[in-house]
Order: sequence, then C-alpha cells, then structure tokens
Amino acid sequence: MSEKIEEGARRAVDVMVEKVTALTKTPTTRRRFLKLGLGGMGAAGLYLAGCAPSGTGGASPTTKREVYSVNATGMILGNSTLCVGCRRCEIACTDYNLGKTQPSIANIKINRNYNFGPRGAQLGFWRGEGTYGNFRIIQETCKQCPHPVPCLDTCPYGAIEVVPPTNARVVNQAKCKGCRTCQRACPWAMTSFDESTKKAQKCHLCNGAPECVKACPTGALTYVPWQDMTKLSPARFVVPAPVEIPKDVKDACVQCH
Amino acid sequence: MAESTGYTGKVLRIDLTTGKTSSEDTIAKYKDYIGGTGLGYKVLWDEVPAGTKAWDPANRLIFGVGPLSGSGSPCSGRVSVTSLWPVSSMELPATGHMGGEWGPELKFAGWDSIIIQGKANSPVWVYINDDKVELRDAKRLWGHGIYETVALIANEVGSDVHVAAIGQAGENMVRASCVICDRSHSAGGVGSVMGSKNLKAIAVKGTGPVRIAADKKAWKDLVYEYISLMGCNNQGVVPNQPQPWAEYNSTDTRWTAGPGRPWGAAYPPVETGYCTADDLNKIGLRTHKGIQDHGLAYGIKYTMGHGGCFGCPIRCHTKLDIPQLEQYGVSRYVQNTCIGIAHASSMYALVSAKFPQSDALVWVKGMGSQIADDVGYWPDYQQGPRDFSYLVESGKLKDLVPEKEYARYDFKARDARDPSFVQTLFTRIAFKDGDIAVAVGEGPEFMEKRWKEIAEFHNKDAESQCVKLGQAKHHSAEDFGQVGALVNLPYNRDAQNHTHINFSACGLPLALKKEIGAEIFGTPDAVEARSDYKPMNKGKAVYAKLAVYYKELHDSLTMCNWTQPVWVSPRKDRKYRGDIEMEGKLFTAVTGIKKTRADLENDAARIFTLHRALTMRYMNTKDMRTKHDVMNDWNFDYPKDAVPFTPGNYKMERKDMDLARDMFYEELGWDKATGAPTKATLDKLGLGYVATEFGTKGLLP
Repeated sequence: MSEKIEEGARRAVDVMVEKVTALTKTPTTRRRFLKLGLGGMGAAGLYLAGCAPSGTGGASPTTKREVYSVNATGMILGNSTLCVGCRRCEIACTDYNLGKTQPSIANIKINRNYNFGPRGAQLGFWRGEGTYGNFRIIQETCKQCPHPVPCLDTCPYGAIEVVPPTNARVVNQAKCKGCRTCQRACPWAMTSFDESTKKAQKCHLCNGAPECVKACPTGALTYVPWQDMTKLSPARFVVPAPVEIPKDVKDACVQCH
Repeated sequence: MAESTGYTGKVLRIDLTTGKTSSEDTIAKYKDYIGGTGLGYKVLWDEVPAGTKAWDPANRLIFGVGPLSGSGSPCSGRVSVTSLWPVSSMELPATGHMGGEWGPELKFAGWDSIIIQGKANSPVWVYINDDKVELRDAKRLWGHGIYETVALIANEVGSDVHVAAIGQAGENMVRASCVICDRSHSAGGVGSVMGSKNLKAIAVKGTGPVRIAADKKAWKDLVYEYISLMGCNNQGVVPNQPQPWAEYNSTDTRWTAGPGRPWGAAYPPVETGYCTADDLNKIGLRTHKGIQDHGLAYGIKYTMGHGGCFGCPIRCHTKLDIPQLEQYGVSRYVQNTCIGIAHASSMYALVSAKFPQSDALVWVKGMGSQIADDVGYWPDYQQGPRDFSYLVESGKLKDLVPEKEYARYDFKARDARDPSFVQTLFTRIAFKDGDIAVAVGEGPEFMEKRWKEIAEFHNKDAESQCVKLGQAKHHSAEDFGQVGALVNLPYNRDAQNHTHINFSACGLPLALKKEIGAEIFGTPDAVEARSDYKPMNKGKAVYAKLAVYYKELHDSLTMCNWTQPVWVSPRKDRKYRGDIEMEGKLFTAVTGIKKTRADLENDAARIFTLHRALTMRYMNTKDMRTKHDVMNDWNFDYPKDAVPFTPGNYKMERKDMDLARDMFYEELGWDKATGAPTKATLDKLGLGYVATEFGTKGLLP
C-alpha cells in the first residue's frame, strides 16, 4: 500500500477514534450517531476500515468487522413475580422462529431455573428459588450487552452483528462456523447451539416484535427501551480463560483505549 | 428420510429384569392408537395376559405421551401412566395422569413413550439423557421422599432435569400411592407398581426438538386462534362475577379474577383486575385458582402465584405461602390444585360444612398436600380421607382396630384442626405403620373388602360420595344428570373426565348452551341446568359418548382434558362458539398426518373400546352391565324425600339409568344386554383381534 493511501487511512481512523470517543463519553441517540457522519461506515457499527489482514499488504478491507457496537434500542424484561412457569415464551421463540419446539435452544431461558432457581439444587432447597423452593422462576433474557459485547467481540469470524432497527446482537447464520466461542464467552450463558444446523443462535428481539413477549399469558415479559443490565446481573458463570479476543479485534481496542 | 414431526418415531422399552433397553417404531406399532392411553392400552392388550396382577414383574407400566406432547400446542404437557391398577380390587387396567414438564422433556429427549416391564434386582433409577438411557443404582435414593429424591438426582446430573419419582409410599407397596413429577403433578394409583419393580425414579433431560409439520406462520396463526378460544380452567368462558366488559357471567366458572382479587401473598401482590376475553397477555390471570380452591378471603391471603403444565396458559396449580407450616418442620411453600390441595380436609371432617373456610383449613390442606406429595400417598380423589373420617366420626374405628392402635392417634389434634394430625397420619400411611395406616393405604376398594362397614357406607350413604365399586364420584350425576352418571360408569377408577363439565359448566346462559349443544349433540335436550334434570333422552347418550371419546382422545394426544375441548369460547364475535374441529387441526398441523374430527373420534372410539375390552378380559366376563357399570344405592335414594327429575336435586332413578345404559351402549355399538362391544363394532374399529380372543373365551355378546 502506498504511503499516501496509508496516511489517509490512518487519518480516517484518527477521525473515527475521536468521534467514537465522543460517542462513548456522552449518551447518544442513534440519530446523533448517524449525524456524526459515521453512517457511511454502516449505521449500526463502526468498522475496521483500512485494516488489512496481516501479511496481505492490501489496502482494502477484506472483512468488515464490527468492533464498536452501538447500543440496542430495546430489550426484554422479565418480572419474576408474574412468571407462572408455563414456558410459552420458550415455545414461541423456537416455534415461530425455527419451526420446531426446542426449549433447550430458546433464546429466553426458563427451564434451567425452573426447579431450583439459578443457583441449582442444594441442601435446603426449600429455602431457595424455583419450583422446589419459593416458587420464584427467574426468566433470563439476553442483555444485548453494550460495548464491549462478549459474544460479538470474541467471535473469530465476525458472525455476530448489530442489526438495525433494534440493534440486537444477532448471529449471522451464513457467517457462523459453529465454533461455540460465543457460548463460552457469554457470562450469562445466553447463546445456544442448534445441533441440527451446527450453528449458534441468540436472541434477536424478533426484529422488534418479540414473540416471547406476545406469548406470555400473564404479561410477565415486556419489551422496553434498552438499558444496561450487565452491571446489575450476577454472571451465571465465570468466563473461562481460554476465550480469546480475536487479534483484529484486540488491535482495534488499543485505538480507543 | 424426512424428519419425524409431532412424533419422535421411537418408543423406549426398559426391561428391568435384564437391565436391557431397546426402542420400537412408534408409527409401525401404535399409529392407530395415537399415543398416551391408546398406546398404553395396546401394550397391555398385546403383552399382559389375563391373570396378571399389578405387582407381577410381567405387568407393564407405560408412561404414555403423544404426538402433541411437547409440541408447544397449548396445554400439551400431560402424561398418561397406564398399568394394572393396584387400587382396583380386581387390579383392572387404569391410568394415572400427571402434568408438569416431564412428558414434554421425554419428547425432547427423542422418545414417544416408555414401556417398563420386569423387576430390577435392587432399587434402580432410570436416567434418560436424550438417546442415552441408563439404569443407575438407587441405593442412595431409596427411602427418601420425592422432593429430596429430585434434589439428589439434580445434584448428580444437573438442575434442569425433570424427574418422576415415587416416595416411601410407593416403595412400601402402599396401594394408594402415586408417581409425582415437577413438584405437584401426580399420576395417581401407580406408585406401588413402580415400587414393585424396584424403580425409584425416571429422570429425563431432553435437548432435542419436537418438530412441527406446518409452516411457521400457519402454526403460529393456529395456536393464537386456539388460545383465543380458550376460557379459563375447565373452559369457563365468562367471568365468575359481573364485569363491565362481559355480556354474561356465572358462578359456574373459574374465571375468578377481578379488581380487588390479587395474588395477595406475592411480593408485591399481583392485582388480577379485569381479564378481558381479548387480552391474551392476561389469560394466565383469569383463573385465580387460589380463590376457587380456598374462597375469596383465604384465596387472596395465601396465594402467591400459579403454575401448572408445560405450554398451558391457564395455570391451574396454586402456589400458596403458608408461613405457619414452618413450625411443623415443612416448607411454607405449597403448590397444588383441586383435590390435590383439598383432600386432607376430609381427614378431619367427613362433611365439609363441619370444617368451614378458615386459616386452620388452609394450614391443614397445605400440610396434607406437602406430605402427600413427598411420601407419594394418593388419596384417591378424596375417597380415602372420607372413609377415614366416617370411621372416626361414626365411632366404628374404635371397634375395628385394637385399642393400642387407636390410642396411637391424637384425635384431640384432629378435633382442634391441628395440621400435625395429618402430618402424622400420612407419614404412617407411607410406612404402613399400624392397622389404621395399612387399612387407609390399601384404598377404598380394598377397605370395602376388609370392613363391611365401609362397603355399607359406600353403598348407602351419599356422604361417602362413592359412586360405585369403591370409586369416588367425579362429575357424576351432580354434573349433569345422566350424562355425568354415564361418564362415571365405564372406568376402573374415578372417572377423571372433564369433557362434559367443560361444556355444561362453561357459564353461558342455558338457552345458548342448548343452542350450541344442539349443533354438537343433535338436540338441545342433551343440555340441562344443574340440578334440574329430566328423564333420559338420546341426546344425552350422544353427549356422554362424546364425553368419553374426547377424554380418551385428549389422554392419547396428549391434550389437557381440564381445559379442552373448546366447544365454546369467550368470543362474542363467534357467538361464543369454539371449534370442535380443533383437535383435528392441531393433529394435522403438528404431525403432517391429515386427520379430521371424524377420524379422531373414530380413533377415540377404538381406544375407548379397547379399554372396555381390557376390563372385560381381566374381569373375565361379558356381563359388564350388571358386574361393572353399577351404581351405589344412594345415587337413587338420596335425598330421601326428593323426587327425581324435579328441580333442586340430582337424584337418579333406577329404571331411567337402565334406559340410559341402553342408549349409551347403543351409541357406543355395544350390546344392550351386557354392555359388551359387539363383534361388528370390534371389527369396524379395527379391533378384530379382540373379537378373535373374545370368541374363544365366550366374551362376545
């Protein structure tokens, strides 16, 4: 790549970094984000333009790779007092999206908390949660994490994308290679793996009309404006060390941080 | 090869004697019997010869699910557990039914049903992890109650497991014992069959799918259409009290939600408010079952929520918070419904008026449910407790058992309505601890044989509520005249049939029910107001026939017979009609096998008639009319001065019931004189093999 083009690309990246820094420091609406002129990069995200995969020497980006994910606009909130454990949300998620009833890969998780709550079976279970405890059934929904998004940023293939208008973090089935990294990365174990397609999947908010919310017979699920739940929710498990951030993502992090 | 839809394609067989497991092709062997009870009856017919007893290793225990189980079709969570029935004094075939999540989990694991035979050398439990099936040593579990058994298993294989287990009652071969799954879902009567096989529990983890044949959009539209036709528990389609949005209301229905009717013990309390017919995000609030089961004040006070079975929007199990139970060493959280929560009250008082609504009543009922569901005692639709209270209150118990045994019970605690009484009694029943516990634990039919006082009580005294042969009445003549009475005849246990009350108690005005009934039964005369019955007519025979057919159909598909059929609906735009074609639509959409209502009614006829044939085979008689389809005298003699077919009572008349049987048998294609299926009917239904066997045994009419 010629020096001139390289210089131009570096300047473009600097501009991007400034704008992104401003973005991250102030609450911003999607409209403002677009006005910042990053829209040309793809309204939903910020791409590594001009970063060639190492060793190729080429200037043009061969892989568009989201690094900074703009916040989702909506999320699903579960009220556990109202949850009656019917699992029609799990049913609706897989029935109406995948055409089969398979709660084990539903994008809303009820069954794993149904018996004993999120902490599972222990001595003295009648003082715990779940059906064998105090009857509280915790509905687990995808938090559509703000940047940095564990599943999206650890995916080696850039297969998880921010999809407008909801900006849900969505597994692109064509790009997914079934490596299961996202399953290991999510602290709340919210991604699923469909053995019949050998691909991962996760909550995509049904593009703004969540089936689970519609299906809930008590209104225990609501579709509300997004807010950051990641600091409020204890992780379901500690992300194991072997989950690595892909190199191209790591390199980009340095530019802002 | 196309992937199986609805069905998984494989039935699991477990031989506990050899320890071997195998699989069979569902469609090849059982397609004409759908699944559930149909499959169970077919297995009994093919594999369990006459003379086999419930506790013989050769008896089969079939956990039957069907193509709709786990499909996500509304109310698709139930399991039909079929076997020779230890509670029946002749050990005739019957089915226990349990709901919860276990049945769908079995489908997700890839299995269409489980057939269990033989007997393990020592206690085992079965672990089904998708297609991996293992027999594991139950040494550590045996002797534990059901709740702990589940926790111990969950610790071993993961907390998302679903477990069906017996408690100490089943282990100790108490006849009146059950299998429980998912906390409060009880398959009555079959607990000791598992115990006799040394089988403690079946734990299932299923990660696979139940595939739907119809395309996604069509399926979604059908499901939402269906849910829009659903009412409340027992398909009441109008609210229980006047509400501004509703054209009609009726105290018949369990649509008990409304302003000022919260789940009062929830944190924070959940106001149910107006649950209008069109708001499908409040359908789960319509049935405030706490109010239904405990009255307004106590229902509000103790209810913290509701629960129920997989995929059901109605939620008929009430979650109670009874802090007072903790002082007795049990959990304060109690989940159950209907008789499951009511039965212990009858251990304290034969007549419910003697133990009116109160805190004490809730504590007693809560304790009863908590213990019974842990030790796995099955109160036989409350018949067992009634029999006990009769013996106590009549003074007869004192004479029937040794003084020392009688003195072991603190009857003052019973008088004081102290929960400790039932806590002690149920625990003793589970361990066969003493003559009283043994007698109650044998169940009402065997108690009739043990003590003629009980046989007399059952036959003569309406307060026994025993309709026939030691079986509790269950929506009999009180619901609705001859229709209910007929429905209570053909089974070998309490009828467990709600088809007829889901229609007749739906809450619509009588004129409207008659109009809709005419469309279904051929005449408005099939439908009557409660306690205002007229002599038998053909329409009622048609109604009774459809009632038994649809119960069998639902228990085979499986669909919940407490919320279905949807012959009526809350929808004014449909003139409150439901959709009698719905079972066919669901079956076709899920399995891809096209079946109409007529096809399914024919399948149901086959299944129901096979049940009849099984009963005859094990009774070794064709004279079902006089030996099986009998009714205790009080049905015709109580109240003493009441006149049948005048308003205000449900007293039946012997001659009229004879005519009712005539008409019922005719509808079913059974011989009038004997109540035995004719050869023509057997052949027509594809049960020619039954006719062949019966021909050699003189069981054809």
